[in-house]
Amino acid sequence: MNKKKSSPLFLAKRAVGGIIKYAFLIVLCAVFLLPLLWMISTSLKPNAGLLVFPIEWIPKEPMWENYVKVFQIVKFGTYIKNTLITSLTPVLGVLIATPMVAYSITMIPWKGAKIIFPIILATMMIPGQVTQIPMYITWSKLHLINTYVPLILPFFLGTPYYIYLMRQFMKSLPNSLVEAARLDGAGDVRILFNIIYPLCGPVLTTIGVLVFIACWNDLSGPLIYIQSSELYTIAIGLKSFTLTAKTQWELLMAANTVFTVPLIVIFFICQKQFLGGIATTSGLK
Amino acid sequence: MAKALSNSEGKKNTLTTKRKKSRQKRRFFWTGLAFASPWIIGFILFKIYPICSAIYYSFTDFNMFRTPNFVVLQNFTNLVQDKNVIKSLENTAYMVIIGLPIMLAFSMLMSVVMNMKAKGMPLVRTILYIPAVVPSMASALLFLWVMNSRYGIVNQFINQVIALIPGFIKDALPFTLKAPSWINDPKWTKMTLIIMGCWGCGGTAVIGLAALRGVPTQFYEAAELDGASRWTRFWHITIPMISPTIQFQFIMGIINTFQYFTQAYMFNMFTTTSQVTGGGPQNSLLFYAINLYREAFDFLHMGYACALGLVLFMIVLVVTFIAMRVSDKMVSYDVE
Amino acid sequence: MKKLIALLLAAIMVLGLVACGPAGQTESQPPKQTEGSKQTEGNQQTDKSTEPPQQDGEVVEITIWHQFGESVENGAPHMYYTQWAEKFNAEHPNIHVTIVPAKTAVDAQTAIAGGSTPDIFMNQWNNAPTWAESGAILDLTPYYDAAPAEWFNDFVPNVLALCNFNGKYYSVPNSITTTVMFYRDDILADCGWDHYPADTDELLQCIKDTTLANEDGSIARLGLLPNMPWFDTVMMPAVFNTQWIADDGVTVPADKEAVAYMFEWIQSVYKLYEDEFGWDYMTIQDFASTVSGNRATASDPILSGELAMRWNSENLAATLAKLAPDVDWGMGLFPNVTGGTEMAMLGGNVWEINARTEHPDEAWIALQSLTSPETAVEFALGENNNGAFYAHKQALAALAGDLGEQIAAAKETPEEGARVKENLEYLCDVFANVHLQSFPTCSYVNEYIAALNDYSALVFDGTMTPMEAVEAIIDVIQPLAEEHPYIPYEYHEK
Repeated sequence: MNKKKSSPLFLAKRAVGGIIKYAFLIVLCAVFLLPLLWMISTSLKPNAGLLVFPIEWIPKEPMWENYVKVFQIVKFGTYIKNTLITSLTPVLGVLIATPMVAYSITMIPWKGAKIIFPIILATMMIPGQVTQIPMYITWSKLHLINTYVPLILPFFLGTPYYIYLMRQFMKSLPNSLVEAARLDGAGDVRILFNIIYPLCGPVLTTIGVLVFIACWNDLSGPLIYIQSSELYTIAIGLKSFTLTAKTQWELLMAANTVFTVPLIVIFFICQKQFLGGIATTSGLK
Repeated sequence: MAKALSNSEGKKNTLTTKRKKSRQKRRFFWTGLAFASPWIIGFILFKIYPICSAIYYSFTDFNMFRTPNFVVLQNFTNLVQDKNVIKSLENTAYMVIIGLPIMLAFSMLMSVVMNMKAKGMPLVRTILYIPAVVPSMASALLFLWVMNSRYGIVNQFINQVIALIPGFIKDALPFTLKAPSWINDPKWTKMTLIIMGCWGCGGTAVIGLAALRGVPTQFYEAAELDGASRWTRFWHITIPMISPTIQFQFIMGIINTFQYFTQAYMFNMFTTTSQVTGGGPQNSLLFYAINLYREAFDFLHMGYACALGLVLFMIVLVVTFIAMRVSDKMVSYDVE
Repeated sequence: MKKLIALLLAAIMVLGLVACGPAGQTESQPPKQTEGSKQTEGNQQTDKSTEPPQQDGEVVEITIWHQFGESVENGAPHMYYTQWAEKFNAEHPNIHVTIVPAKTAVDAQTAIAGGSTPDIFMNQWNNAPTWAESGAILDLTPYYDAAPAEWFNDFVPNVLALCNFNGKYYSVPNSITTTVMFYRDDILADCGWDHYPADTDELLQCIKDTTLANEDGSIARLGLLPNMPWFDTVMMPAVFNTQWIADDGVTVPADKEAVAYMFEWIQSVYKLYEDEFGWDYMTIQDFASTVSGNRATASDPILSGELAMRWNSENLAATLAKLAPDVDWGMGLFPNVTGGTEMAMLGGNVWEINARTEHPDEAWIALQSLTSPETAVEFALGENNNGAFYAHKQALAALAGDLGEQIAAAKETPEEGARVKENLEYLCDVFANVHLQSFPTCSYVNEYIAALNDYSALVFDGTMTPMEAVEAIIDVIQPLAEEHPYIPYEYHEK
């Protein structure tokens, strides 16, 4: 075995494989980096046409003042504060409610489980456009229009998409685990939060990050439910830009960059976390 | 088991186990209910009323503002004859049948790439995820540029490939080789959106990555000892192990693709400038949800739109049911 | 992992507290709260009183939504609406108006259907009739009748047609737009044109003369893009002397042959490119999607010389003057069909009042002030001028007159200033003197526009003949027209 691994043929093979792998990764990254590079490049140009050919990737004189202008024109400070509220609170909600509901329909043998899951699936099949107005009326009757409650509360009540995802993960956990814990006299709350929760670490972090990003990007919710500009979120601010700066692509792209970069940084930081839980998962299995 | 025991003792025993069982059953019922309560409350408060009103509206001429009048089945009879509905169903079916498998396969490939071991992987993963966080408007704009038939990178590449093909092959072909007009040719517009979908698949790829990370490494090690090739390992260990996630992505893919809206809406906004929601070249991007949106918010035919929504719901329900039945057989939850 | 969750929890808790602050407060405010209260719902109790608010001293909240972004830049629409609101609030102790930015028609739609704010909102002309028929917006006819003559008579008469549906007023004009042709004077001169084309035949010749191919046969320059920025459903019938609805209010369109001829003319431009230069429809469309993203930027096709002529709404003039004072361009009305009369299209955006507003009278007081000639003049001038034309005679006169010179003087270079002044005078003259035609305000206007867009594209790419397309449009629209007869608007000065 050892001999084989140090033979020159094997080493050469490995080197070639490595080169191919890295070449592949580099090309792939280049393709996926395009939007960001293009956004940043456009944002640093003087009054830019959108489709100028051939594209000039690095502007001769970068216009940093475009970024200054963005912060001057739109109240980004307020927007960012508001957006943090409307995107962090849902993360908390989704991390509490989703595993609970998923636990109920996978780990607890009760009648409702078989009824609830199909309904959860079915609710996702109704196009949002037809329920939009009755939804608005409901919130309006509760006097919660122009507050963040319609944007946040639904996440504390279980989001169908993530319930389904959690269900799939919980179902692949060995049932014996829960049964053993029950025989030991552990309560369901303890089973969920002390046994299942750590096992689902990667999924939970993934869900957390995805919810954060979805809420950060959400435009239709705030547009419909928020009606005073002090409560506007950054997505509305970005939309404001398209309404005011219409064809000033450079400002629009500067705003887009300001909008996107925090998300990329958060993803970069969090990804270690959602890969971190592996050892425990596989260890227990 | 009870039969084997003596009569009196057996009766007593079954009774206690029965009582025990029913007590446990009751306990399970209440804890199950308690744990599901967030969703149940949400469903009762915020789902039942909107869904019921949508169903009610679909039998009326509701226009969003006035008290609706009952029109019985008129919306549904109109719907069958509506050319736009038929066109939009065709377009949507194309996305589900052709687009969805491509996008799913690609997102799985991305998950595998994200799971590769190499230097700088955290950065690579982040980069692969970028298109998913870029605001949809910016990515739609970018695609107009990338896919531009004259100067776009894609077509420049294709043209160079075509130039490499020797002349006699080109002459022998029954058609002329030409880079497609991605944005303006109705035959290609949907493919452009599919490519855009593949490129922005970060969200689903990350879920796939989480699943891949859950596959215990011991399995691979054992298989490697048995001399299984990489490919065999992928097919016989990885795929079954992540099959619940694949099923999830498949089912959610069906549900979401039938409601395909945002990307097409953005794309149409930039390609067809008009006061009314557009459907792209020759209505090739008039998807079901786009048509529904136009009926509801541009034409104020809310009742009709609700009928459209109801029909869509039925279609998705049937398709999902079949997909669930078929895929359930292939999914293994407990690989121990 | 644990650390991260702990951190997240802490952050969320802090933010959660902050969140409940402002959001909760708005709700818990007593109904009488005025400053800062953004919700009319809170005032539900006050409006039940039958007495007019002036007498019990209560302040009525009026919310106004507009479609422009929240920008604190000087001269941005949001700024001058806010300035107007401050002035109005100072003058009217009984009414407090609040301006809410970035609210488009769809946002207003959901809110109104859900039974809440806004009281006044901005809308596009093409939504007004549909919304009026469905009962979303208030019938303003009684208010129009009671309004002073100097308010009513100052509106450009044709614009009021856009605000009228079935003989009743539902909206008040804000700004007006028309479509004009922008020419590259130097390119035209190089190609032997010392005047702008006088009619559609000459235009076709001019397109042929000004189009230029590269050595490899690709497009270097097009004379005109026949659907850039879009197929103009309003301008085209005006140019081709036809109407989308006949005078009987039922027959669509008024003249089948004229509409078919209109499609045919546009088709002939595509044919010209195909026959003379070998560029098919798809090639032209690809070119169009390349240049359309550069509209109104420094790379605008008219500035880069990729187009010799193009049509656009008039506010492009302000942008072009600013971006390229040294480029030789000019503008004129789109040439009319041979032998026709000089006509132009008209569009614009309008203000409307929510039919479910709790304070229609106060809303009208605010709206009348917002649309008064004085306000329009203020919006149109100085820093505020951003190329928009307000639907007031006084505002147009002010733009064209002495103040036009003032604006011109404020520009960076004399050339730029001269061009601005020239443009202003020209356009004000168009709005004041040319016969303007708008799309009929029928309740199926959006269906009509959608059908026109769909089928015209099928004509241009050769899928249908012009007459087939006209017949197809009639198939879709005629039943709607019979169901909802259109009543043409008649203007009477007060």
